[in-house]
Amino acid sequence: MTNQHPFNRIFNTNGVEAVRKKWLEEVKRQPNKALEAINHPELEFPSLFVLKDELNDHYHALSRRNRIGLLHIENVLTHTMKGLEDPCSPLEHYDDHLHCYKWIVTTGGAHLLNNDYNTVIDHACTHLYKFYNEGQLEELVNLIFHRYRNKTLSHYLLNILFDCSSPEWILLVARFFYSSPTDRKFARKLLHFIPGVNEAQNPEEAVNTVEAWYENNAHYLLFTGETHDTNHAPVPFVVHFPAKYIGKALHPLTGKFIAPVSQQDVDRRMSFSQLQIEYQELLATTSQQKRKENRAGWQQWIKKPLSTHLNEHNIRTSCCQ
Amino acid sequence: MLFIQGQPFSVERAQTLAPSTPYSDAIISSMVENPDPFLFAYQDLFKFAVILRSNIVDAAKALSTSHASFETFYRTRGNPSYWTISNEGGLQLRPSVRPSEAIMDISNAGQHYGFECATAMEIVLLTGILKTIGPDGFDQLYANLYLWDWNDVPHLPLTIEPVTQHGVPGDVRYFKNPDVSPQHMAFQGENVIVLPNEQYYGHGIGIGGKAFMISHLNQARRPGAERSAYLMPRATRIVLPALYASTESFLQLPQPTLPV
Repeated sequence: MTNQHPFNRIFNTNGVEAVRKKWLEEVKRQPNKALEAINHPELEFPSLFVLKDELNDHYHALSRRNRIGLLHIENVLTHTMKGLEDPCSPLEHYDDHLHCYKWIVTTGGAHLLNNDYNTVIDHACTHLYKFYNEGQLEELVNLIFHRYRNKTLSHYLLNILFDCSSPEWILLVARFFYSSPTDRKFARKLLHFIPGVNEAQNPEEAVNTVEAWYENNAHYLLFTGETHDTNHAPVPFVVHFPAKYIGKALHPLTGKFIAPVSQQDVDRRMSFSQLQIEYQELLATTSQQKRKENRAGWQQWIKKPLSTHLNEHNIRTSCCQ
Repeated sequence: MLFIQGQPFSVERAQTLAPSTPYSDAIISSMVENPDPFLFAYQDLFKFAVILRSNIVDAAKALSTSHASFETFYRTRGNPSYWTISNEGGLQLRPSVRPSEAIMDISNAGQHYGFECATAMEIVLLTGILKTIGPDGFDQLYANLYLWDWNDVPHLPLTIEPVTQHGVPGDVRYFKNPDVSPQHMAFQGENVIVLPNEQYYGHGIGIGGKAFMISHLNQARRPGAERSAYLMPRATRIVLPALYASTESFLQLPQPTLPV
């Protein structure tokens, strides 16, 4: 937070009406200086939001960041999709919008003024994380926990998080196991789909459970698309056991292998996929452990027939004997 | 596939056990002809399932004609005589109000209400339960109702099950729209109740088939979108044994209409 800027300082200490009052005084007394202050890089988003109606009279004197910010507010609150009229290259357009959305979220996310304000912040997050795919996930996770602590709507931010097809955010959520009991409870709820998290006896055990699961499965996770919109206990990722068994990394969104795959791998995967799911889980875990302990030894092991692997666990099935 | 007490049941045989409702035949056929197994430990649980699912379908149809509108959680609305609106956009039952009256008010006076599709699903499920167990039992069980997203409602035990081919009337399912436009974020997905004849009820969209739902959502996609909206292969269902155990004392299950 940059308290050096007069509007930021007034907003943080005296609130919304004081910012309006200050703007009206300044723009009457020294209009150029008032606009300079509004266009200053250190201005934080809440002041722009508070002055949105007053600033419309000065629209053409505003910086591009502020004009994009005001358009964003208008688009969200009136369900429109207007764009800036001034010409610029596609790259400039992209960069300016990206810069503005980052500014809105970074300087405005922690404030919880009212429903309209939260809607505007949530939509900026949607642009940043879902469409531009450029947001810092850590910032989004922090914002979600901030909203949860303050009993304010976090549903749509959670949807954005759970719609990220890359699973790194799981670790960012797990960091909150070292936070307050409220945060720990929420982290546990979000990560319920990781086996052992609900049973963990202390923060260290919970973190260790998540890290071990992530380490063992990160390359073999499939994105499901489940969010808190779809059901009460969304499972955003499931482990793809055939991929884990043959040790080939997957793209979480497409489900296609991103690691090189030989014909032998394809054949192995085909016969493995015929197994019951509990046997798949067991052999995939065994394979992954052997790979981790001794990769050269695993390379020999994986070439053995599937029936040998099943025999190691005393499993008899009709499909692979 | 339908199994009661471990025995497979045909449509005809199952019909002899269940009370006849407007939707019982569709519910029973859908279970029997389903590649996914539907297991009931005892006959009364099966009867309870058919009646409850039938009442859920009724509740969905009633909500679809209630004039309750779709609103995001930022703009949730409710009849202030029965509900207050929380900071999260949830509907909190007022103290000293009967939950059964408050729930029925949503379908009866829908013009006072606006809520998200997940909230609509909770309302439909609870209305179905109310019609199944009656107002006295409902008021005892759901004294402190809070309707929001898929949060935990006490005594509304839910489970999520895989769906290989098709759901069963009374299931809750979800159409996801991965390439939704930022202008239409409300259409990023739609919770629906499965109705007979391969129809679905979605709050704010209405009643229609799978193609209708997908087409509706696809119209809200980004320009150049490559992925269609799709029906996710899972269903949210009430955990019947748990609900039955908490409601058994209020229940008077109708007898079958066909000779056993």
